[in-house]
Amino acid sequence: MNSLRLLLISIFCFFVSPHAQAQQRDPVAHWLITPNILLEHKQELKLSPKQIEAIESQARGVGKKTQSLQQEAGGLRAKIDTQLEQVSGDESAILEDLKKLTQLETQMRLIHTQALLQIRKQLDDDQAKLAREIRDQLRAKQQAAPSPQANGQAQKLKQEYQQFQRGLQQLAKSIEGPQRKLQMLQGGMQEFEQFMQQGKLDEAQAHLGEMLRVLGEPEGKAKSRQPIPTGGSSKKATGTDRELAPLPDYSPEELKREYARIYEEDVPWREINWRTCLLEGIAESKAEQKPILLWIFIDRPIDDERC
Amino acid sequence: MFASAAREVVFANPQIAKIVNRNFIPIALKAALVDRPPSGIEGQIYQRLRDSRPAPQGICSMDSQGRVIAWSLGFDQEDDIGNFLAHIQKKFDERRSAEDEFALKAERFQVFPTQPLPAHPCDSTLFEIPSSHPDSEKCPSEYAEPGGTLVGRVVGRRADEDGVLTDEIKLQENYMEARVTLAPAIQKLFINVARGSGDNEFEMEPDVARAIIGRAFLGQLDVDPFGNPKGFMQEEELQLRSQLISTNQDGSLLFRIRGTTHVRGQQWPNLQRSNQLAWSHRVSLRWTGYFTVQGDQITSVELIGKGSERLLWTNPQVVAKSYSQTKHLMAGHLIDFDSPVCYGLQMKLP
Repeated sequence: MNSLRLLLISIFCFFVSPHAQAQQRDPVAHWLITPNILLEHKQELKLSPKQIEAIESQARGVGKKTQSLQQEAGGLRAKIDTQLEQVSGDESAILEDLKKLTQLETQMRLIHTQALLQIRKQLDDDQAKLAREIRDQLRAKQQAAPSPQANGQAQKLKQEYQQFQRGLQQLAKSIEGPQRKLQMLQGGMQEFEQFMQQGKLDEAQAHLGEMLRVLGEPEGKAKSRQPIPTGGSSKKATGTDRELAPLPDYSPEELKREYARIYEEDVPWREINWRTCLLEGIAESKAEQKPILLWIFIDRPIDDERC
Repeated sequence: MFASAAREVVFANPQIAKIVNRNFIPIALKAALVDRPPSGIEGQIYQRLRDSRPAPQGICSMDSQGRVIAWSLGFDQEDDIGNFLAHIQKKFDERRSAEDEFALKAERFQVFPTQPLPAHPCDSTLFEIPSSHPDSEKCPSEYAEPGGTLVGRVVGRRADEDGVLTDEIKLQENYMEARVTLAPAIQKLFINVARGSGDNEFEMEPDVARAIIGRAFLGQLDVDPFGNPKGFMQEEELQLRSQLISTNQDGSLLFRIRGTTHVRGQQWPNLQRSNQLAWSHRVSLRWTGYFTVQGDQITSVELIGKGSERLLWTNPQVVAKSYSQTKHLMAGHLIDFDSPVCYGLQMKLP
């Protein structure tokens, strides 16, 4: 419900007049560039792999930092929503909740702005200038008068979006814990936003249609009408396209034997005796007069086995 | 992606493994610790890695004072991996006899040896580095599961149409291992339903099923069909059933597990833009096995899963004619298979 509320608010901006927002220049919006624009135009901006990594890392960081705040804010919005629906709502309680909501929104805005500042530091002046130009062109494209055909498409898109909005509200109300589907749709909506920002109405409409399809499917039982892309493979289809063969009722001993048949002790990557403590490694390096070789990577390299 | 490629291309090479074990002290570190160094002297050494790194993940070397010698994110050719190790060895020896330690610099390579990056000045402060953590302090690299967590491993392999397992085990799309855990709260979910079912067969809660079989897929971490659903579609049909079949002599209960799971993760179908990767992953398995329950605790899990798996993972970079994985460890390699697969899962209390 919480993420849903935020989602709807973030999407709503596509259907309101941009003029209302443009009365006075917002310095943050003017000078700082959002990561999606930078990443979408990384080639044009000549971003280095290090810059891309850093921008992506900042964007991920914002998500992590604001997740719980978003949930809290969503809960408050829902509460205020219910209170305002009742004419005789407790005014002081509403104002108190609004105050808390404003504080949360300020906190989130500061986190976002801090990340945008960090991202700005990754760019040189030429890249920053070019990025602002690209962003302004995109905004101008959005604000340009659409053709009658585009007008019709936008109208259809708006109707479908409203249908999606209603469906999403029902989903959030009717089922306890449809978090995976909500998260999935939220992720999909981010892509939708990108299409809209780029003025790609065809792609946005096709994408919204797919999300409406997913929205209509029961949680945990979703079946896609879309075939999995084959990537040009000529191999025959398996799995859901054919019945899974029956399995014997293995005894516990037989199960152990089957496991041992699949497991391979002697894998090449286990040959290296990786240490995990930096202090102990340095001490060993001193004692044995050998250099240290470090393998630095995301997740848990040694104890998690998959990488 | 980098980690998987580094393991496949660099560390699974028997010659390289031999050199590393013989001439180096190999340490695997979490990028998160480099991102957010711990406190104390150890943290200051992590900070040196952070300051000099060309990317959040990479292969790096240090001397015995914890000063960075060189970083590399890729290698021109396979031979250059060995050449890089020899280069480090030479620099290490030079440092031991260096007259001006404060003029040292950390070398950095996007690709060794032809694509050097600007060198980074070394922080040459000589610390009194403790040889280990005091007993009262946990090493930040250690990861401990909460008490009562059931820990184990799932292993998986591709097979041919006759069920013969592949011998090609270097790549994770052919053979995988992953740690699996079952937190006390998830165990409780299972036990509560089991208690209410007597000796009748019952459907396993989706959260329990997901925790049990959620890591049974081939390929690197990035292709997880159960992964974070942000930005892509994830569909699942988990039908695992359980039934109490006997009470063991020690009073523990033995449950038989049977059922099927179908999981699919893929990009939103309309998003396969030319500048992005293409990814879709389906795993369909039939499972059989046992849970043992003692009191409020699942004490062991043993399962075998057999079925089929379809995985496509690619991006424009990896299909380019000039592409070399040694050179671009970050990019990985094309994966495209549709094959019978077998999985085994064993868990027990540590």
